[in-house]
Amino acid sequence: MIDWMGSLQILAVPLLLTVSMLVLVFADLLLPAAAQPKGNQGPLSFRDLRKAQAEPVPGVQRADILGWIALVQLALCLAASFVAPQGVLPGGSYVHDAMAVLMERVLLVAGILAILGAFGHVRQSFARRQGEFYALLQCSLVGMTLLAGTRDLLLLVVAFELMGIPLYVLATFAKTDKNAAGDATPGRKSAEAGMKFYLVGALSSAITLYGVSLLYGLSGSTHIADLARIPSSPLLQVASALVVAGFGFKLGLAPFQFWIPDTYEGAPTPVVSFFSVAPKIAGLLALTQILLGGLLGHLQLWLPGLVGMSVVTMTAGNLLALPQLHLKRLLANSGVAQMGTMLIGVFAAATLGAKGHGLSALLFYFIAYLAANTGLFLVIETLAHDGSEPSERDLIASLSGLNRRSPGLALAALVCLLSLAGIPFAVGFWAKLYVFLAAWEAGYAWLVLVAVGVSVIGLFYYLRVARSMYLGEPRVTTPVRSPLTLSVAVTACALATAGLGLYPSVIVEATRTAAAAWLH
Amino acid sequence: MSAFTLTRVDAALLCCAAPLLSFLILGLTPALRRTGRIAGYVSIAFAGLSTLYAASLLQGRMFAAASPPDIGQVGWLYAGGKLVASMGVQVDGISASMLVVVTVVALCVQVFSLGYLHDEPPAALGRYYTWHSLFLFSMLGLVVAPNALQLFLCWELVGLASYLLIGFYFKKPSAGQAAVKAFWVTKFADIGLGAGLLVLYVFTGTFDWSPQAVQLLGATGAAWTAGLFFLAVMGKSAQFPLHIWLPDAMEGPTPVSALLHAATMVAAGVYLIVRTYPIFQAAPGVLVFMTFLGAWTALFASIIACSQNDIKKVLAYSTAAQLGYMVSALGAGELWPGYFHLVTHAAFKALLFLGAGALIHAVHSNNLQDMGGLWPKLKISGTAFIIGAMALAGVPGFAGFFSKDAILDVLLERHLFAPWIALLAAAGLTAFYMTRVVMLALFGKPGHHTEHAHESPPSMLAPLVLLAIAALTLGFAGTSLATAAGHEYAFHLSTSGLIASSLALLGIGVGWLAYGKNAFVPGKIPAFAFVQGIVESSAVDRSFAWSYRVVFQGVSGGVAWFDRYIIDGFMNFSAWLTQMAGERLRAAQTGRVVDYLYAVVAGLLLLAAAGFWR
Repeated sequence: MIDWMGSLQILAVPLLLTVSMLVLVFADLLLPAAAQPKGNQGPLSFRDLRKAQAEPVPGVQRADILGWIALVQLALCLAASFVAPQGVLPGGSYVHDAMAVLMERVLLVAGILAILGAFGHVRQSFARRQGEFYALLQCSLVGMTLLAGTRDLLLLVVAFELMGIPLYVLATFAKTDKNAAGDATPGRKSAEAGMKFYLVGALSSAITLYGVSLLYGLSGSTHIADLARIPSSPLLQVASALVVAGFGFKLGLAPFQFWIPDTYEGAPTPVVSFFSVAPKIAGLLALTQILLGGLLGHLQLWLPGLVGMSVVTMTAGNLLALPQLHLKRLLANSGVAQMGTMLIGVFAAATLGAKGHGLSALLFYFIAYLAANTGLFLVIETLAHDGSEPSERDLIASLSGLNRRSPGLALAALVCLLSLAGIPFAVGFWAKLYVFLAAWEAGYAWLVLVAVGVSVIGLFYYLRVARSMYLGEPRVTTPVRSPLTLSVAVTACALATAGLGLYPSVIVEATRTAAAAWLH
Repeated sequence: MSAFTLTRVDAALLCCAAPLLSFLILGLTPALRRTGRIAGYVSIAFAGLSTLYAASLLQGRMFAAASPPDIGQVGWLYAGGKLVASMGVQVDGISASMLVVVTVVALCVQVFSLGYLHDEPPAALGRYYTWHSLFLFSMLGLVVAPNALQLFLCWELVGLASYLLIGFYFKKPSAGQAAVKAFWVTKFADIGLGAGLLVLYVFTGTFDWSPQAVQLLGATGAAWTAGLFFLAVMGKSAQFPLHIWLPDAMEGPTPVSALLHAATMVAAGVYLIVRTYPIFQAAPGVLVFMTFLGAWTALFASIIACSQNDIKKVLAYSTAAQLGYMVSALGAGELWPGYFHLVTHAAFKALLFLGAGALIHAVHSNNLQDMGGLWPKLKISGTAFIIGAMALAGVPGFAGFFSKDAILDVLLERHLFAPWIALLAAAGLTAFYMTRVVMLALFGKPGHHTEHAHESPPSMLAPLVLLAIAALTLGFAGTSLATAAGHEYAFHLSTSGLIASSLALLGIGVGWLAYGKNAFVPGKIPAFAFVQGIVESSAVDRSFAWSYRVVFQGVSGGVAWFDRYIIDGFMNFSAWLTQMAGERLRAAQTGRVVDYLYAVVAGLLLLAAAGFWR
């Protein structure tokens, strides 16, 4: 007898998200006429709607009502994560444990930040498609929250695609964007971003699936835990390499990272602020689940390759970020380097298991990375939205003299930059320190030294951005105008970065509990 | 009985939180800050609240002397899965009495400043009180720190507040330079504290100064920790040769000098020794060094103080000298006399500085030559200043007499004759130079500005009276204070006490003859003339300047060369290499999807190969 109610409760957050998504889609269908702001020329006909979708008519804007609905829905889901019981789904394919709960909260916060950051952009560029926008974002979140608790290869693959496919669409969402001169380059870039994302993603999904099917063939079960029973064989070697490579693409590990700068540059910035963090950490956690939960016994098969990838990723990411003048490309490459650093936590967890602190360090890193990286992308979005220097949109030069224009915004950006660079008393410092300490304990001293060495490069390019903000001459002297929701999101990110840096033990306990749920 | 009772830990937290709140309020509301006086009232109100909490804590401690310290801590930093550092409060007899000292002096100084700085523009006054609140919070955090890391952080914060307050008149170039000098000299010394913390952590795995930690340190660890800590003490508490920043720091407003550079912040160094005393006790070599260095500083600074014409500089050198007494006494191996002197010194030196502030306020000059004959016009401030001078000189019955006597007694008991003699000589000199200041400023022929001098407003007189009472009575409170701190102390007239007070009276007599009666001109006496000649030719300063030039420029020149050509060369080369690598690697980012797909396949093959190759 299956306890249906219990199962539903265990799956509360992903289910609620699914319902939210459907509600949003229907609300989008039903609301358009009602959602007209006052002062417009009456209800639009269906034909007008289609025309407006093709090219946004200035002045004709739909209210942000769908965005607010999506926001409230995510807040409700976040509340649900506090009441949803922990437990195992019958059959054991999904486990709602402390880890899943923590990840649900982190991912939902990422979603909330993205929506808060997206309001202005949505209204400006694709007000007609906002229902789809928020629904796709929630759809992706469904996949992510499922990933955090999955113990089954099949569910893992499905959740992964559920997370990934909406993101391809979201990346192309600015396809009708034009710059101030009426040039359609931004729109073309957005389409290009989505296309590249999709093509490389499709190939790597195929690779992952092939690897997973081999694993299934070898173990005869889709349970991740059953993978431990497979005897070592060359075929297992090939299968694990395929899986690692497939994930490597999603996570942007070198040499699978080339799509990242192109995609980040073209995709709408609020979307980038979301998919530069949330799918990355959900994906890394899923990979960790396969490696630690299933293939831990075959450490020697995958560890050397992954360690090599980590070194190459950190080095390539930092080196590629160095010459960038485009902020989003710079952050894209620096994010690649950050992923390489996070991998170190996986090695430590794999080597020491419950004795070490690799996994909790990794979770801490997720949160630190979420706060700082999202914050910075939203600062870029703020400047782009202000649009006072259209020719320099998204370039480092657009930040020049920001401190004199908007000191608060500059300070928020500085805090996030310092955190990403790992300067003490920003949360990023503790994140790096914890990961490095865990790796050192696990005997990866040389890897730590390499990581510290290449992160010096990071210091250089992060601080170059800071220098531009504080020492550069402002081209425009007016303060940056920013929608309230965007300011709230940026402030929240900066406060979290600074606050957790001063008092990190607030989340240390939570990450340790979550890690303990996996490692016993 | 109300349901809401305040534990000692809560009271200590509130005591620290009040000035923090004031700092945040003033710091975050520019409108309020720029009102000046109202900002001052806010700051004073919170300082008063803090004082009440501190007083209640001390009172509680007086009746619970034997109970263990009240410690409240929360975990702050974790690393590698274990707790590395905590934050919190530790309330025992020492920290409770120190809290009272700090809050009372701070309150007096903040009230005094209302009158002293009444001509300042409101915005500047608001800024002044904002920094004062920051200082008070940091200093209280330092005092209650339950571990060395929190102490270190607050130590740096008071250093920052000191820098900001010395540079209060930042439009004056000399004030800016003095602020920077104070900052760098103390920062240089703070390397010792940072490094000492590292040693402590490496040996014990904590930042605690508990007996277990001292045991884990062992002789070597204790020697390193104490030695490195003492470097920081030399900077903060102005011990030779790192005292050089203190006279320059007198560029700050006089009330600031009273609070930071006489009563509390400079005493933080001595307080650090008191707090980590178990570690120091395990390092006998460091203790011996402290005794001699403290005594030398006391003697040396007292000599210089005899020849200064700036009233604040006299007091500054005298502060360095009195801190030397404390350090020397702590080096002798007993905690109480040094700490007792810290407490009494805080009272009478704050009194002296505020009194000097009243004199300066009256004549608008720091120079003793501009004062003269002020007594008839400034009866109350003058009396307060004289009481402070007598307490500093060690006239029997005044606060300084008791604590100085206790220090000398300990040195003699431990057969530390050389420091003992040096400190006795310094005691005589102290009496002499204070008599000189009193005679030149308050009596004698009127100076240029005496005519227009007038008594200070009540906001300045009230703190003077309060502190004067403390300077008169604090000596008699020694026994109960010691009991509260868990120490034994009872006054008894000792040999060294007798000699010291005779010397003090002798110094006063000589000073009176020289500057009061003009019976002789000190400059005509060969020995005196020699010393004064040296001082007046600023040979000391010049020899300092010379040695700094030679030592610092020599060393720093070499370091600079090494840095510029070897380190920078290497750095530039690696930077160039990195840039090149970045540019080259960029070529791989073609923008063509097909190339990316090739990269995916190539990476996959490499991954598979990595496993087989192993």
